[in-house]
Amino acid sequence: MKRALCVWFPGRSSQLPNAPGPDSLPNLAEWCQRYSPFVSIAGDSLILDVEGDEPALLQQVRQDFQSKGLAVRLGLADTPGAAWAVAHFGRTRIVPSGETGALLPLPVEALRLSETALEALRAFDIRRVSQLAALPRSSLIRFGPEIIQRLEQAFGDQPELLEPVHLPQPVRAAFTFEDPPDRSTLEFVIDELVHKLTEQAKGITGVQVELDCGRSVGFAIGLVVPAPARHLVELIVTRLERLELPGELQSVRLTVAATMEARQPLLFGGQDFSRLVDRLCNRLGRERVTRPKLLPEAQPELAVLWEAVTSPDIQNLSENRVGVAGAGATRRPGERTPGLPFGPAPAIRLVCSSRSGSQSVAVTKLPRPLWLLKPEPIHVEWDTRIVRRREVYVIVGYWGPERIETGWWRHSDIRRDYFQVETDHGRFWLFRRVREEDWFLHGEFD
Amino acid sequence: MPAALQRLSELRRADSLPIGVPAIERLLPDGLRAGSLVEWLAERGSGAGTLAFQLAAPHPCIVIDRERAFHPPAVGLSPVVVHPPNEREMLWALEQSLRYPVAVIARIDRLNSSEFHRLKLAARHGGGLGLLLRPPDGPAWADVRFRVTPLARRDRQRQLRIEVYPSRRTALLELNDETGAVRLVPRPIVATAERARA
Repeated sequence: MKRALCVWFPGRSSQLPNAPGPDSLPNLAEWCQRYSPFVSIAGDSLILDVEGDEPALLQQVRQDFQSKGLAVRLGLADTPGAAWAVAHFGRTRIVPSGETGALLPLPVEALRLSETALEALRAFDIRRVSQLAALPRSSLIRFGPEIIQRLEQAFGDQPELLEPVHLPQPVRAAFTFEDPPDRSTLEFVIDELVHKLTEQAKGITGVQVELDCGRSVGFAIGLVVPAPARHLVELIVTRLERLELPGELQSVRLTVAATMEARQPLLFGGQDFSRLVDRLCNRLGRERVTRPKLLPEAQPELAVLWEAVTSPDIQNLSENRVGVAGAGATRRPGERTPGLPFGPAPAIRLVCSSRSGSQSVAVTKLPRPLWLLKPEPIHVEWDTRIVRRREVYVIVGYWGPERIETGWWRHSDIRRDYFQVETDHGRFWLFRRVREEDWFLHGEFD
Repeated sequence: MPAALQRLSELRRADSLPIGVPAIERLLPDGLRAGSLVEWLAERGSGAGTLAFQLAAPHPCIVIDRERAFHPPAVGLSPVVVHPPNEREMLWALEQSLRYPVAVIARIDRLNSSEFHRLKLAARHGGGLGLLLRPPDGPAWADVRFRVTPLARRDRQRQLRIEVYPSRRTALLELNDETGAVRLVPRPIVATAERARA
């Protein structure tokens, strides 16, 4: 017999139930499909039609949500109304069939009434469901149809129809092999399967590939922007080639995991670029294909955040040229170079020095090396020469110091004096640790 | 102009890449063909890297940075930066990237001729621009090569001696560290006869 399970997320009551994100109610509703094909959203909770071993089901649901990090309160009863009431206000979790008595001690709020209805009841000092249930129907009419309806729904005297969340059936295609396939057969089959998927779903950006080789093996393919079928086929086959199968391949199943609405065609280079990015991510992993983001951070090795490339990045890629200084463009004085963390700072003065003496030089941009290395300890005879890996670099001139320090409250704070040093081998970025007075090579001005 | 030559010059113009640095454009009278690989033979710290990034600037750009050393604040560019885990994956990523009409920058110390050949084919297929920063001594194969030697000076303006292959022209460039402006220092261009390793 079908009964109702209410899943309530107590921690979420302050949030909008439909706030976007992995924990939005629609997403959780879809996730709960594993327990029942009929899931509806009732306010801030979910109602499921369930049948079967109820204690086991409750146990499973609670465990599953616990591993998701979500606190839940559950109520299982004959009607959605009763289940909701018990989940939100009761102590019992499962109300045995036919036992309506469980509702009686609950406060009237458990009946999912509107504020107006509740006020009306409070005016008559009706606080518990039992009080309400004791009144004859003729007296209840004065409170309006809502209260009667909710009462009768909770007790099962009136049916309650809930709209199940319409979750699209997953788009899937599968093939079972009679004999273990060779590479060209496999490619052919993957091609067919991908075409089946693209017929049913537009704008695919994620595919889950599951292989049955005695054991189940699977992987996911992600795209930055939707691509033609042939590109998907290529990505899948490339990944398959590098996979070691635990046994003979018996079947393969592809499921669409994500889609994106079709976008406007991208700028020149954009479409090509996204294919390339897909290929690189597919083989190297998403975290190795990045876009730099500058942070307001003094410590140079922490000043850049390498973020995985996303699809808006692809559209912006043609704009990466905007930031280059010089290169034939005229610069107005004080014009900021986009992307640099330092604006046209007034009066940054570096001491420019050589053996013949020192002078103060005003710069508009703090010098930063093209290649930032891991700080390499070096031997320095200031201000004559540097010894690096047994090679001697003669110091011809230097600019600095630029003091970079971070607060003592940081885990490992730094106090460094940086120098841009011109040598007979090129220009380098050195720093001397103030406390320890030792020298390091930090960058190359290439 | 005879018809054949005219067509040739049109062809040249058609698949020529825009060169964002006038000073370097002057050094390449035949322009830079789409699908080219350019090798920069220089020590790190010479200034060759900045020139390479400036050439890359007009195009969508990818940096293949195996050593994770690229520091964007230096050039004010925000390209896609790939961090391959080892040399083999670096070469793969480089080859893949060259197959697309984009500018690719990579520092490669070790390269053999067959690896280079694969890169060359990929670049030709892609029609983009490959800028390879290489050590100054060691074999090089690109159709266009720049040998860059810094001249140590106490000036904030850096001076670089640049030698171009195949024309064998040399020139002096002035590179402004702050603005990135590159200027050809006017002086007679002398073809060097003694270059053995070009």
